[in-house]
Amino acid sequence: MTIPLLICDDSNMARKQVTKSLPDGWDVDITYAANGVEGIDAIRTGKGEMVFLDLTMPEMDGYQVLELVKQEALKCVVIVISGDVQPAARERVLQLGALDFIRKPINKEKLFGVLEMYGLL
Amino acid sequence: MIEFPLDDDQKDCLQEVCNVAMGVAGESLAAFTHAFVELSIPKIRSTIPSELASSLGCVNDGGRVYAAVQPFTFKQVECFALTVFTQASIDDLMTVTGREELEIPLEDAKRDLLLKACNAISSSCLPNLSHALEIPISFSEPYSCGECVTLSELVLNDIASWGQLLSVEINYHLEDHPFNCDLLLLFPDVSFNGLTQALNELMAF
Repeated sequence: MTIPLLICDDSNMARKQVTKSLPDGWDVDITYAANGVEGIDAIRTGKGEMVFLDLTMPEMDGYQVLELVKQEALKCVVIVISGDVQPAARERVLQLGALDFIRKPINKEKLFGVLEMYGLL
Repeated sequence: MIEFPLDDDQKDCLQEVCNVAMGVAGESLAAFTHAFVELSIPKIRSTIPSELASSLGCVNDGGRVYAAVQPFTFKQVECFALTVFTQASIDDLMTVTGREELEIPLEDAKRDLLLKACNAISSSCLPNLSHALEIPISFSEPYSCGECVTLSELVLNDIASWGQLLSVEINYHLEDHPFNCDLLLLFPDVSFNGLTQALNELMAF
């Protein structure tokens, strides 16, 4: 079954890097969002059952997106992909309900490892 | 009117590369201060040396600042990382690092702290910038360019002769602290060709 996948990052280059890192042949329908406001809208309308989320973004950051997902009990699996590598940032996003945290820059091996670990492929 | 040296894609690419490098510097600052570092989106601007001080957004509250410069070499061109701390930031660091209790002259303690904080930030950002850009960057020790001075009093002789420059401004704020500092990566106009070439190669990959 095709998975609605949301890639939410303010950088065009980062969105491309995530897209290039997706496992070959993975059956996904990709939606892109350039900030948290666009991202949460996409999740609310069912375009992000799986979400790859950046943290530092304009309009609304990744922490706020995670808070809204939690508050509104939106059904999605969120994996944070961020350059904010403080241990406390990782702890915070996991507490807010993110499944895991991947350190930027993303690549095929890192993403595959996390997706495989959680049985998401 | 100054022409902006990067196109939209190159600017986005530099912003993302700096985002990753600044995150590692944020981790280093968090370890140094035992506090949570709030990161912001890097701001990329084109300016001229005489307008650099007034273009600093986050630390420009009219108060006094402490600042240090760390020269780095990018494709054989000398560039600078300038770290500017508000006075309140240095006072805050004095407290969180327990230096208030040390029996050394206050200004010496603050200078030492300025250079250590600069090291924690720019010395961890630059190797990661090098890694992300896939270009070797060498850098030397930071030195003070102003202590308890206004922004316009900072001694920036090394960049005064530059024509146009590109500045990447990265703000670091500590959660629940008055600490607020800006890291500026300053690229002179003679580095623009090398920089755009590195960004283009990165985007083509």
